[in-house]
Amino acid sequence: MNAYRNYRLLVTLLCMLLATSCVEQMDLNEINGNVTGRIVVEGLITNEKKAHLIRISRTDVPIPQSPQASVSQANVSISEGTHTYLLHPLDTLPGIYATEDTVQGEVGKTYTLHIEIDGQVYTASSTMEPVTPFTPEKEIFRTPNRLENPLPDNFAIYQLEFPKVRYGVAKPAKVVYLAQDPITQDLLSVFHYEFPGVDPQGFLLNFQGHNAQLMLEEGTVIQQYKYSLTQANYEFIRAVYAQTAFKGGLFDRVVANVPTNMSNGALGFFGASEVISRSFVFRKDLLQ
Amino acid sequence: MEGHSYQQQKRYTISGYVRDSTSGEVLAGAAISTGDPSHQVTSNTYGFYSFSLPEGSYTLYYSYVGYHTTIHKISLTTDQRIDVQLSVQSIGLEEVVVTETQPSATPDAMGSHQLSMQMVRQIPALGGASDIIKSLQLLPAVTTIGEGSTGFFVRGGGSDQNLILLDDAPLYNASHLLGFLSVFNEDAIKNITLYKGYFPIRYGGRLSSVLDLRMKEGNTKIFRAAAGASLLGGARLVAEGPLLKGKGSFMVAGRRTFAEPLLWLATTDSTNRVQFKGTRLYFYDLNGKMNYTFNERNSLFLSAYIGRDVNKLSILDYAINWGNVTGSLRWNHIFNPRLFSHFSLIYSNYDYNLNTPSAGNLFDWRSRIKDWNAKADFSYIKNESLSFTFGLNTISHTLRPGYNQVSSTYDIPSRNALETAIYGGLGGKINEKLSIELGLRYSLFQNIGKTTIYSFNQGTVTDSVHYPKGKVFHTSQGFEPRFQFSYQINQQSSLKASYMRSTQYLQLLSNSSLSFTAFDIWYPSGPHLNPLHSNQYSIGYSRDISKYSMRFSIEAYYKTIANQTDFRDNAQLVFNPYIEGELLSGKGQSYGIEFLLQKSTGRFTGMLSYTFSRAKRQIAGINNGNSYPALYDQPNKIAFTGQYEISSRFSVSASWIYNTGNPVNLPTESFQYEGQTIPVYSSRNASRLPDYHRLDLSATLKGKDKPASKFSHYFVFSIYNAYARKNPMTIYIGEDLSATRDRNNPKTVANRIYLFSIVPTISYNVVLK
Repeated sequence: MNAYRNYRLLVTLLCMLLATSCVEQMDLNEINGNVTGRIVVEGLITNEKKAHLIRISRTDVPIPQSPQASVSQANVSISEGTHTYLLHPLDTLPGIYATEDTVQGEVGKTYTLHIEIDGQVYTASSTMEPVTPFTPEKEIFRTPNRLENPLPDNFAIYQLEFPKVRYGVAKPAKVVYLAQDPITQDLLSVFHYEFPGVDPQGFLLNFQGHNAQLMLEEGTVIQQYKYSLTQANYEFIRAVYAQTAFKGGLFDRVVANVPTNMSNGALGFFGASEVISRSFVFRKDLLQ
Repeated sequence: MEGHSYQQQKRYTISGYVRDSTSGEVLAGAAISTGDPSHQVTSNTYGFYSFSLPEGSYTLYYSYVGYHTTIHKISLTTDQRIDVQLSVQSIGLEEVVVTETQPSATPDAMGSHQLSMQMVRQIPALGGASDIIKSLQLLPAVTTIGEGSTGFFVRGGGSDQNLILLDDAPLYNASHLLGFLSVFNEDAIKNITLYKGYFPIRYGGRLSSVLDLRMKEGNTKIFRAAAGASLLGGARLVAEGPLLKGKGSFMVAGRRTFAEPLLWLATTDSTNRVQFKGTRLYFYDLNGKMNYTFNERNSLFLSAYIGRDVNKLSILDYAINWGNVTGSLRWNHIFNPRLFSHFSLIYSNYDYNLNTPSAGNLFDWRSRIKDWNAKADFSYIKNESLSFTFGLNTISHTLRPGYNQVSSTYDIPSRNALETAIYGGLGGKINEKLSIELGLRYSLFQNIGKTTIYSFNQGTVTDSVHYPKGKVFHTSQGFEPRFQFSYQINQQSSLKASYMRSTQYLQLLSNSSLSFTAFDIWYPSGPHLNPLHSNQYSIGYSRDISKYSMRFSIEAYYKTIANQTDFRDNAQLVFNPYIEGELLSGKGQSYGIEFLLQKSTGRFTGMLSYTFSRAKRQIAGINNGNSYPALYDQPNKIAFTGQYEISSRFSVSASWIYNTGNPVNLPTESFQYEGQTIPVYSSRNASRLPDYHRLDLSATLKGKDKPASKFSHYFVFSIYNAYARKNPMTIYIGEDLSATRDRNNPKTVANRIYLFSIVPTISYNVVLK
């Protein structure tokens, strides 16, 4: 069940009931006036030894028609009390700032992002918490993940579709998969979140819109990563889904801005995650 | 009065009931006077009146709007029982001349309105289904949000701040058919009174209004039946008649809608037919009442209501069902001609259920509130200048705010409470021009186990305490003083002022972006949720314009609410056992001024009103602690309704309503995160829908009256939204849902969703004479 379908069918039903109801487009961008251009941050530091990225952009109209404006003249650094890591802008990707590729975070440390733009300072802090272990490989192929044969009468290739969120875990996490598509030979990267408890709207609308999918055949190597999420990061992501992908049904949360850990009116989130990874080969016995 | 001195002679009491001469139904609010406006009483809710006068000869005038005034000449030498029957005025006949010495009928209390069922029926209605609450929405300072909705908001209070009583039994959800109709069957209702400024002292438990509806008691003289059908209201049938040789009477009225055939007609291809298989979309309700008069002093009344909405939308995999069951057993006892009493035992149950019957992930959510209420009310009439009312009532509330069949982990703990009130007041005339009403109500709310109470810090659970069954673990209380002054400037004009303090212990937690409130969680105050308290100040002026049989009134009010709650940002309402942690408390404030011009008699009747009002909230933790408008804040409202009886068979009516668009939350900006466009809002309820306005028209054509026929019939032709105004119900930001969308290239847009364009309807009704 998806939110779009829900709304469309509800409107259709009322149309049929009342014979006259309708939907029209309206220009929201005109109604609401000027955009303030607030700073938006999307960034993460992990315990992996690599270049960690921070993306800085600005807010846009409510329904943007083009990529959002990137911020390229910022001074950006990440510190954890002892060390300060400077980030430099990437020439090929405007608005993206990267640490040196030798930087590696540590579990238990608190990292503070410091951004200076036009004399204004924006900061955010996040503590790297340990990630919970992987569940058995078989769990990946169980409900609510969907396993289908995408090609007629072809029982060698499987399509694994993930909901945006799997509910009921003890601690929140983000899970990423990499696998080579057996048909196109492209490397597919997909992710989903794991949340404790249940969100009624997410529970029902989890498969709305475009969902992450992997194409698999026996012998496909699956690379799996799992990222820890702090409570604040979890609440941010949960609110993001509540106000976007899971919005539009009877079970909506109260409409509001998503929280942020950025200061000085900036938006978005800077996180710190421990990452664990494993790789395994897809076998048909995992489906049993 | 014919030359008597009231003070010096022995006094006697005249008492009795005022009834309709055709049906035998009692008339509440009928005026009884000696002809001297300063010596006038009105019949109470049960049609009873009592009048104390010195020994002597008098002419008594019994009057009621829409009825001929009846005159009784009496020689008063002892207490007398006079039961009076008034006959209905017929349009076209010569009207009774109201002389200066006769009283104007049914004087209104501050901020109160009485609606006649005749008026309700004549107001053009959506789908040809007359609706009491939609009629109320034409009154000043009564607003709604959404389109075609039966939810209503009074003087800046939430919909849960309206006490809706059907024969004294509270109704916790008064909506049918996703909110398009109210649960009140026009065939079953006799009296409608809305109090919004000053509540009589016997009412309590809500802050903003009391809607008191009384069912018909049934015709005590002849058996009658009527039936009708309309697009939206479905089929209805009512029957009434005498019981036991006229010592009693009964009334039964039922309705049932049949929307499924419309769905079947809409399914023109086999795919759609499969999609709609299993769809259920109907409601039913049944009202019943019977009474028996044992003797002049004792009468017994039994009334009941049962109604349910069944909405199973198979294509959406949603099922939403809800319903009310109420019952009232009332004993009216007249201790003596001056002391009237009634004792009641009242039951009310409301429950709803949401589920996804065939989903892979089973979802099921239920909520219930059940009340048992015992009450005793007394009114003692010392003389025509002084009367007392007093009483007590106690209500046992059993609440299951939210539970499911998936896992008890997500259940909201049950709540039990005892709400007790004791009250007393007096009404009197200080002199010929100045009248007062004073009262004090004391209420006590006791939370009782078995339950678990959570403590929260910033919405996060920090502690929990379990209380065993029967344990009183928390008590709240409220003193509610009320007073009202009325100064009669002259025969036509009067000034009024009132103050009222109210306490409310139950709140409705609802996703109130729409006024359809099947998503209801009634929740009691407790250790961490304080009861609501309000103070309301009102002042008003009214003037009868006798020449045109019209009345003009102005009222202004200012109301403050303490402990007003609202949800914190991103609050989750269902499947959340810690829902109390999602609430934040603060202040509410509302104020406004109301202008009303109404004409209740003659060929043309109607009313025109304008209201300026504001309703605001200020709650720490919401909107950075700044004041913000309530969802139902509509600064400007104009309402007109008028009916003209062209002949005894043909009448036309029209109504027009305008109000400022209600606040909504629309994003002012957006940003990208992980590829998703995330909305940014400037502040809570900061945007507004376009202004709302709508014209409705109707015409009623009665069949020729054939004396030999046992039946009469009439048609109602109505046009809802005559100029096809596209009033948006909501704005949904998401994929394009419009008819012009490009299915191959979906894009995100703002969808303005409106439910009704122009809706013409014909309904047909038959009445058994």
